[in-house]
Amino acid sequence: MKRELIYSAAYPSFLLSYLIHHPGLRNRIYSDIVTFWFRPIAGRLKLPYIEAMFEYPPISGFLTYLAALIGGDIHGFYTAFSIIILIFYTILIESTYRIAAEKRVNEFLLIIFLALSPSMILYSVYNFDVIFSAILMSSLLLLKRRRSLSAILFGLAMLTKWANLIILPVALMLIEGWKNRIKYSMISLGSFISVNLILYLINPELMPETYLHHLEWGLENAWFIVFFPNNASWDTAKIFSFMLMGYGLLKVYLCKLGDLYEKSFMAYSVFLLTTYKFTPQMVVWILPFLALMNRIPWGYFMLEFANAGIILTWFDSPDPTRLGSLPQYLAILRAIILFYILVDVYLGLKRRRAHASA
Amino acid sequence: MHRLRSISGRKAFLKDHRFWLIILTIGIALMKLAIIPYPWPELPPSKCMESPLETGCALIFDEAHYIPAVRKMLKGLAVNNEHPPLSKALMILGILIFGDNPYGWRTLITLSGALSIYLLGEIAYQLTGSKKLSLLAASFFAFDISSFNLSSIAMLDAPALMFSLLSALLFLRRRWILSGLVMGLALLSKTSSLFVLAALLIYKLFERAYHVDRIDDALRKWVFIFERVSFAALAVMLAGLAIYDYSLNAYDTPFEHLDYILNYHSSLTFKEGDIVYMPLTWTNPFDQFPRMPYYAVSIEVDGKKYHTIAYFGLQTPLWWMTWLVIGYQLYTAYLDLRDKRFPSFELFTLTWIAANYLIYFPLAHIVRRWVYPFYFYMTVPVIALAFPRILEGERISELMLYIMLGAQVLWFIIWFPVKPQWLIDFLLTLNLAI
Repeated sequence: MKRELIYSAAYPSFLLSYLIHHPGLRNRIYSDIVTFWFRPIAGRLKLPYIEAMFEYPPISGFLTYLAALIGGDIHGFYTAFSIIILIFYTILIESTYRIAAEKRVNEFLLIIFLALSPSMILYSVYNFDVIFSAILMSSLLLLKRRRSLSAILFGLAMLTKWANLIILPVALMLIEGWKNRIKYSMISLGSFISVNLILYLINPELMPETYLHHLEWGLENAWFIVFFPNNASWDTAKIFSFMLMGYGLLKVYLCKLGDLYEKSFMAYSVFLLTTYKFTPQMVVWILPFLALMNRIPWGYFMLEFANAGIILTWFDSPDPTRLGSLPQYLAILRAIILFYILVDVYLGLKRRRAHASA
Repeated sequence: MHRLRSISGRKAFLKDHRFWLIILTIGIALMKLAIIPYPWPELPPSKCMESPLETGCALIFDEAHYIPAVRKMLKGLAVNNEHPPLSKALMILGILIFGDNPYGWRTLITLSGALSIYLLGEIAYQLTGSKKLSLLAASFFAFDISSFNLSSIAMLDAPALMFSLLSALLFLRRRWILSGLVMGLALLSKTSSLFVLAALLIYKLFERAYHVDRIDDALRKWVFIFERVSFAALAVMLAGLAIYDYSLNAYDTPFEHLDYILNYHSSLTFKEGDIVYMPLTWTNPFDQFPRMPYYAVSIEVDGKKYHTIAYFGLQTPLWWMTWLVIGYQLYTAYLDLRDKRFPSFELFTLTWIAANYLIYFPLAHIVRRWVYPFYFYMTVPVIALAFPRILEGERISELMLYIMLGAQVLWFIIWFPVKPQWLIDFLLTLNLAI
């Protein structure tokens, strides 16, 4: 399949995402981007992390500032932000396409996962997830060929949403030699730390406002709300979340099965299943990896239904974070399906190894 | 011929360390059972439900919390939720069998306290293969008067330690799931048993890391054990809490109950001016925490004052050996590692001490959490296990070991909580009566 066909599906999908969240629409679907306009770094053009705080890492803040600088008003800001995302969306598709070509993956799957997925349509012009995924996929694409550039890109992905930190051990395991591993870690973590350090020295409020801010949030779309229905117990729920995440990630890191992309998918799935804050746009992170596994998991459609349903029902629920609300039922359904897909992928890898050794 | 075989069989029986461990355990259990009715309540249970409780309730130390709680639980109320329910359930069972009196409150707790002695002997044998060390460890622990007192009254600690030791024994025998299930019972008795679980898992992690060349292979093998032990323990604990919570309508889920336990214990912090006996005072013979009368009745006869009942919390000669044990274990661990041997015994005892005693240093000094000398009860068995190992082997040092054991027994006799009159008279003549 020619890549033109993939782009011919992806761009209309992106345009649809642009339209459904557009601030000019009366019945638009919620997007974080529109709310960013009302923050000082966009609406009043305050320098992010220096003059005003932002709860996302530096690249996210500076891109928001850039979009506001270009845009001028809310519509212009939204359009400028969407164009920035479009550039990264193109990088995401191109990187995934090239990896797919190397892995001899059926490119048709790229259309399904990266263009037609309801999550991609609803959550691409929404937050920084497409930007984050694009930088990460390009980093993984270059891991074998241009390792230093890959490490820099890995660091840039962390500077966008930092969640790719959990993929770092997976990537390091595929690099041969301790010297190379240390170098890769130093470059990727070093770029992340140095940018943050400079900003921290300029404004020490950076750490609490940008990174620790998220620790104050309660449970959001986490399946274990069934164990902790009372929000007074959510601090303990977070401890539960971190312990479960630590265990799950350790299992993935120690797993001998799968290549870089399969292990990355498993690591992300564990992260999403155990984090106390599983916002629906985070599903965008796993879509490229699902495409690269060369099959459509049985539960995928149900996962997409539940994930799209969360945002579509969120603002019609009086208390959407409470157990018993429709978004939380959908979040639980999503977790069950994602867990099923994770187990299915793991068992598939086991079967593949058994075949190979037989 | 048949008779000869029977005699040799009898002799073999006497050489079996388990026989002597059972004798020791039964002996201590009988002593514990004999003193249960002292003190005996003068007031009916209905007058011993709410604070302030009168002396006539005959409740020793923290029984003042647990016995009223148990009585309310019997009425279907969910109380004392800051502690898990199993130890209290054992007290309830005792009350259902023997009635609402000291026999009911204390019998099952007492038996679990005595059983710990046998289990410690078995752990010592499992770790060293030495029958002598097994008996010495069990004896040092059996005659530790503070441990004896604490495990003779209706508190949570004796069942927690008994299940912890059983879990440790099963762990050393590689019965992972069974060890986890029993650890779940320990956690259901007292949440601080978590420190024992942590110690066992850390010990195993070091062992795997030493024996396996690649760190990922070592971790993989360790995770296999971790899953079996921890998940089994967690399952039992959650099931137990769920039964309690749903039957007494205490919490929506057992996780919410755990949240309460965690928050409650995190909130127990002291402030400037509070009198707290820091962990070093538990083991430092030169700066001891003051001897604490858990329950004491004193009388004066012919101008001589003495206690007829004297449950005290105090340091014992064994507790003074703690830092010697730590230092020696570190040294022998170093020697073993230098000689390319894995210091299994040393690591087992050191991780246990670190997780159950040393942990209280940062908790008290940094987090400023209230700590109490009776927390040391969970560490005493391991001091009793490791101390004889220091002196075992050479004639002179073994002689010192037996002298130390003699001191421990003497201390036990002097501070025994309910002494017969002839013993009091004898101690009075020696000026040793307390």
